[in-house]
Amino acid sequence: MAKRSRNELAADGKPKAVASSASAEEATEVKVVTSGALQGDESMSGAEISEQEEGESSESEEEEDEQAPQSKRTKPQLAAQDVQIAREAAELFKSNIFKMEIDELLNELRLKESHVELVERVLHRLHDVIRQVPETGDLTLAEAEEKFVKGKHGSTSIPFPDPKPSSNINYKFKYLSPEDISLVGSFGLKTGVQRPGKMVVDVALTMPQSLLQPKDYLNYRAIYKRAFYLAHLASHLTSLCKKNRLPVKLSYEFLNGDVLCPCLKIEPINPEKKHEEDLIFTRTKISIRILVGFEFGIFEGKKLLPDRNCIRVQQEHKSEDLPPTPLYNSSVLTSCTFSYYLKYLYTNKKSAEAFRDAAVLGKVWLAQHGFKSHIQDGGFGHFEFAILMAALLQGGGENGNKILLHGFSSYQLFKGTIKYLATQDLCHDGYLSFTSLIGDHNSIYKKEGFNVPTIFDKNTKLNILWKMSRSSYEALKKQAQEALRLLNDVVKDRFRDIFILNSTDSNFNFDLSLSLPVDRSLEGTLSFGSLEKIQLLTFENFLTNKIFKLVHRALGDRISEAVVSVESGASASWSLQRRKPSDDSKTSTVHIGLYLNPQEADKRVTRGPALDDKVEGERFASFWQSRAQVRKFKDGTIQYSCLWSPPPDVPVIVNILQYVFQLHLSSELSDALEYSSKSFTKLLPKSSVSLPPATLFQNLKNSFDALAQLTLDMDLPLRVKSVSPASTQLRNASIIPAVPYAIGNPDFFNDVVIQLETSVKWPDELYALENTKTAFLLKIHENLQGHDGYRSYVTRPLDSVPYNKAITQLRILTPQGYGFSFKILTERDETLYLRAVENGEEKQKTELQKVYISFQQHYIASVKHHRTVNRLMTRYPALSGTVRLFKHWLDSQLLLSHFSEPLIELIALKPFVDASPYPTPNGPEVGFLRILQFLSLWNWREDPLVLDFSDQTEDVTSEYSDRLSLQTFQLINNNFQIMRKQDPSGLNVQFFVGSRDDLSGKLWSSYVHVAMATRLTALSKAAVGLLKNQTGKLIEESVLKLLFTPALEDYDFVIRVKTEDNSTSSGCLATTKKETFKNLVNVLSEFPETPKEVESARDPTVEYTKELNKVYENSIIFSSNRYSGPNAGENVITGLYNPVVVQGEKKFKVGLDFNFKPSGEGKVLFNNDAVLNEIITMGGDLVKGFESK
Amino acid sequence: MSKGYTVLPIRLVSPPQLADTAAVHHLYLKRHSTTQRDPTLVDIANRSLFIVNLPFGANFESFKRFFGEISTGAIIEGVHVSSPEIDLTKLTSEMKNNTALEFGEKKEQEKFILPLNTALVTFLDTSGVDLALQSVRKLASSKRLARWPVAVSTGSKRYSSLLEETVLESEGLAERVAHDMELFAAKELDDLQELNEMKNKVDADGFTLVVGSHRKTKNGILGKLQHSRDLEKINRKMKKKEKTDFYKFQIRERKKQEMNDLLAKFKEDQERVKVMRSKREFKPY
Repeated sequence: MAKRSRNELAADGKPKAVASSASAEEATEVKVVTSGALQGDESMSGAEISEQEEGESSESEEEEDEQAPQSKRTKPQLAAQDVQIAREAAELFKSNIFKMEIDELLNELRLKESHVELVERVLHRLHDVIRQVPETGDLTLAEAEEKFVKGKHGSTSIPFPDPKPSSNINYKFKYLSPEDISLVGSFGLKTGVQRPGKMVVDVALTMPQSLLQPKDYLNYRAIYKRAFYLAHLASHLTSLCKKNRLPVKLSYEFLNGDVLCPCLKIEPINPEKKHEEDLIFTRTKISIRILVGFEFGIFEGKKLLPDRNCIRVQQEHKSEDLPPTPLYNSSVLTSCTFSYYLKYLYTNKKSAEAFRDAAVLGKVWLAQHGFKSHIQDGGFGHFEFAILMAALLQGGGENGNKILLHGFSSYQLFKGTIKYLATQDLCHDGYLSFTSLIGDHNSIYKKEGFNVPTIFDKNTKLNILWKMSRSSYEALKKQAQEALRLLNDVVKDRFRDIFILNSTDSNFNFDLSLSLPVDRSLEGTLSFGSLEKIQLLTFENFLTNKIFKLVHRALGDRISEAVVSVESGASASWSLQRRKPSDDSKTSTVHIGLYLNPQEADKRVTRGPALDDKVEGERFASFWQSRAQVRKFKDGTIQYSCLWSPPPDVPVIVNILQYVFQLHLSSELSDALEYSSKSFTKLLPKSSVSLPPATLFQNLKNSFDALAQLTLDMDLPLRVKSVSPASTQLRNASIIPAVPYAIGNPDFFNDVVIQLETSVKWPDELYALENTKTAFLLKIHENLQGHDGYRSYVTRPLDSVPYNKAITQLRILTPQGYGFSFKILTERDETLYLRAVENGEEKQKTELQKVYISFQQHYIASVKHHRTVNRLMTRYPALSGTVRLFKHWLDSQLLLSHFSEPLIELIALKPFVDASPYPTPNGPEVGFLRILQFLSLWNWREDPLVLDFSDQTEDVTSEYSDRLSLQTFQLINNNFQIMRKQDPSGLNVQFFVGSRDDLSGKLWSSYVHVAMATRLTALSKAAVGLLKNQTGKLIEESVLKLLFTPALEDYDFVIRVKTEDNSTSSGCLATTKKETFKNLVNVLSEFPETPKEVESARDPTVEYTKELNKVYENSIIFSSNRYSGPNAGENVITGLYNPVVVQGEKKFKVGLDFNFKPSGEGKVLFNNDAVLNEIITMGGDLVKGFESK
Repeated sequence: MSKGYTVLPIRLVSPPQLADTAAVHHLYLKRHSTTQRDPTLVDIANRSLFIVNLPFGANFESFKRFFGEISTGAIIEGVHVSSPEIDLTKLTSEMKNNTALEFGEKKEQEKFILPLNTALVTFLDTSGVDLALQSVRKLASSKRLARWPVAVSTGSKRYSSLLEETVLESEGLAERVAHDMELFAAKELDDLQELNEMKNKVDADGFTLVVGSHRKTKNGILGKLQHSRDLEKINRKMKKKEKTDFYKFQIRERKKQEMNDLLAKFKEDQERVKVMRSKREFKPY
């Protein structure tokens, strides 16, 4: 009410004072209200979740809770409060919607209170149990081992790491009750959230100080003592838990993959005989991990710096220093700091309100991108993220300036941390140094890094990122950059891309994936000796390191990022009876994921240093050995370089890696190298001319340019203003590359739209106008007669604007063996078509609109689309291959002919212009897979696809940026909303694709059968489902083959069509034939004599299918391959009935658009027999067989 | 029989690929009736059969053979099969007598607009219709099935000739285009003359028609002012010149507008999130 009155006052414009004072009053009230609301919020997200959540069992209740107090207040306050919240959100968060989405996400992830309570009870009981474990006296190694093997509680092994302690050690093992038992990790910090799979609660025990001596950090001593401690604990817990009614299963596990730090995993079980006091917590899906740590500060931190050696081994040459043992040192230090860092993080959480939420956001983001604290998962998880955030709250800038402020919102904290990860190099250029001493705000970015990812804690002398390899750091940085770009996007809502979509599947992620099985027996050959062992601890670490270095050195600029990970066959946890995890497989698999640099990736020459640079030159020569040569380049420079000539179908990069692995690893390994694009390249039809597709497309372009110049120079009554191409071949997007004289290829003729200079003399009537155009085409035809090698003739196009029967086109055959189709666009056309729409009768309107859209498609939009795609083809080198693969997939699934080619290309563009959550694809395979994934996720009934074709790397704020503005974006979105309001289930337009070129979004997707659109979605879902089973390895060839095999059993009937091998005339090699000898392939070299022969060389099946679809428009949908060439002419036509027409009786009336037979009084039925008869009769000799369900 | 139609089952020749199935097609026939007044049209209607639910290959040749077989003596003059058509000439031209020039005069019979999936079979005389209808009724009540002859090319021949026929001989084409253009020019001239006459004529109120140099026809000038787009452009130009931040009330209004927008957006977002929640879109795993 007050709000309205305020409006009135304002409208008057006079009593200003009153109005403003009123609003001021409101504002103060608002402050109070919102701060209250915020406090409520805080407590909800804070540590005391329990109080808030009591009684809130479902989400709907919670909503009521929120609304109840509001409704009590008066209306104006409500509005004002909302305004305040809205404003605050806009300032503190990216946008309102983003804040709400974050809130929802945090809510969704919160642990169930009942679970938390249960686990707390379990923890208490566990605490009691641990306290009951009996202590021991001093034991020698032999005694200790003896004790467990013959212990009364069954045998338990001591989880000594490799190497086992030698029998002559002179120190003793002992168990004393732990000095401290504390809850650490995210559960202790109350930042625990739901996780896929099981959540883990960490409990840290601290070994009493008396068990260790300050020198025990050396030579695994502390580690061995801890192993005994753990084994003793484990052997007693087994029986004690049973006694104390805690049914659990115990096993060993390495803490985050650190082989020096075994821990005890406690999983709940559901015993067969239940006792009422049993504490069963299986339903919580939470397991407990017991870590055994050392007292903080027991070892001198200085001695455990990353550059110190703490494992003394015998050496051949005494004179040399032992290499540093950073992993060992860090592992020991980490064990000292379990509860120490918890305190540190807890203090930070208390000091910054939104710390907890931001930590959870970070956790989710990391999980969605495959990062965890585990060494194999990148070594960067929740803990590392939280520490980084804490360090940034105390500084972190180059001058120690604060990167994050305590008052930041969760979004700002998250974004700030991501930005830091994305922009500051913590590996080469510098590192982050901070101190975890509470109250000491001394965090600074220091220049000059250690070439290992580093966040150094000066207090504990621990490098927080010690578990990260350079490779995983690069990957993290890349992901952070991507996330930052998304967070900066002001046009689209990117919440889903950042937090909801999972991008961990390597097959969908890397431009090129390679895998290399490595036998463990190769340890010797690969020189994994004792020195390497103390440095890197495991063979896997060693391999990762070595291969990463090799890949980087070998590929240099060709890749933007390489991610190397090693998967060993060992299981994560192992039984108490064993010392270490069993590993039967004997082989580890090295996964190499590459992000390519499209400009460099395919270059055939690797350039090295200049000739006069002796030192570098020698290094180069020793790395490349026999491949290194000195070459003189066109620009006169003389450089060391390598020349690569890979066999066809093998990418240069793979060729290089094969060579390098053979040289520096072993030849067996190099032979075993598998790569992802191998099976894909086999899929695309190959041209019968042995030239790469790019060259063929370029030849066509040259031919076009020559013809265009010729046309522009022609002496015609009106000068030719422009010659614009609109053809898939000319934009490198056709399945079969442009092969000369391949008149059987459905894409052989390239559409070209000609515009003449403006004239007022064009006739004011459509047919007369078309006649005039024909006259012009005939003039061009005459003109061409004088040019050697060019042939031309006029035809009537088969697909053009409907109802306009006067349209003609000029077919031109060039001396280079290519074909073009000229048609003319005048400035008068559009006016006339619009006039027709306006003058048409009501019932004709929809048809006339179709006519107008068709005109737009054929003459105006196609040219625009061509221009756009062509531009993007040069920006994204992998686009051409992706589009071709995608089209090939569609055609193999018999779907291609149901969608317009521009629509297909627009969909294919999506992963390129808007790649999130991945980086931009630089390989055709990964582009194709991401299209499938996108299609499988696209709910086109509810979501439009809006594409921004501008260069994403461009400065956003630049005035000349052609980025989609927020206004345009909203306009397109509105168009979609309006369209869906009229057609909610998407019967008319399914795929709404809006862009700057087409704000209406339906230009290319109108008149698609809804059945075919759903089929596309279903097929892509099935495909992605198949590929999901291939996670973590290269996609098997058989699976790929399955993807490209049509599911004929889904159709109602299948017509087998006469096979006439037209692969030669389509200019490709048949892929189905097992052996095609190059010399047996006829290379075409001339056109047939008459135009009629040229025109009728195409596959008649396509025309047959077209006619069928036209005749049975309403009752049956027919599909067939558009390109039968690659299948050696084999083709099928499938039919799918429209159930609405085909089933059930209809009332007889004149004008029913299907073939019917009488059924009862005044009723008719679909006459299936007659229809099938007609279909087959129509096909005549084309039909070879018929199968129906 | 339903709604005055005679239902005639006919046998379709089974193609070899479907040898074991016998398909029967059903023709619905009746005498054609029309509401047209034109005596020639009425005459044609009287001599015609209206046929619903056409089989494949329904053209003059097929019907001629078909009726020749079932009722000798009923001689067919022409067949008009319905086809969806829109006369774009009529809709795009602003000239007075605007029928399609290009395809020559239409046959009288084709002036009937037929619904989908129907045809008009015209006989030489009315007795032909009677005769045909009689034999159709007789046949319909008997057990015997007449055979439907398909008199069109099928299979690869059909489609290769379809492709071949797209080629137009350039000489013939040039002649035809020239001829059509002449006709069109003549018509245009006619219209122009009429327009010129009007230009000179002073009407009852003493006004004359003003004719621009680009306009060629009367309808073009008298036609609706369809250039609403131009109007919009002008309006926009006018708007641009207005100052929007001159008066205090304008600024205040704008601020209030902004505030309301913000609030509306906020509410809208709340709704959206609610919808998203109901769709469980906040499940990250």
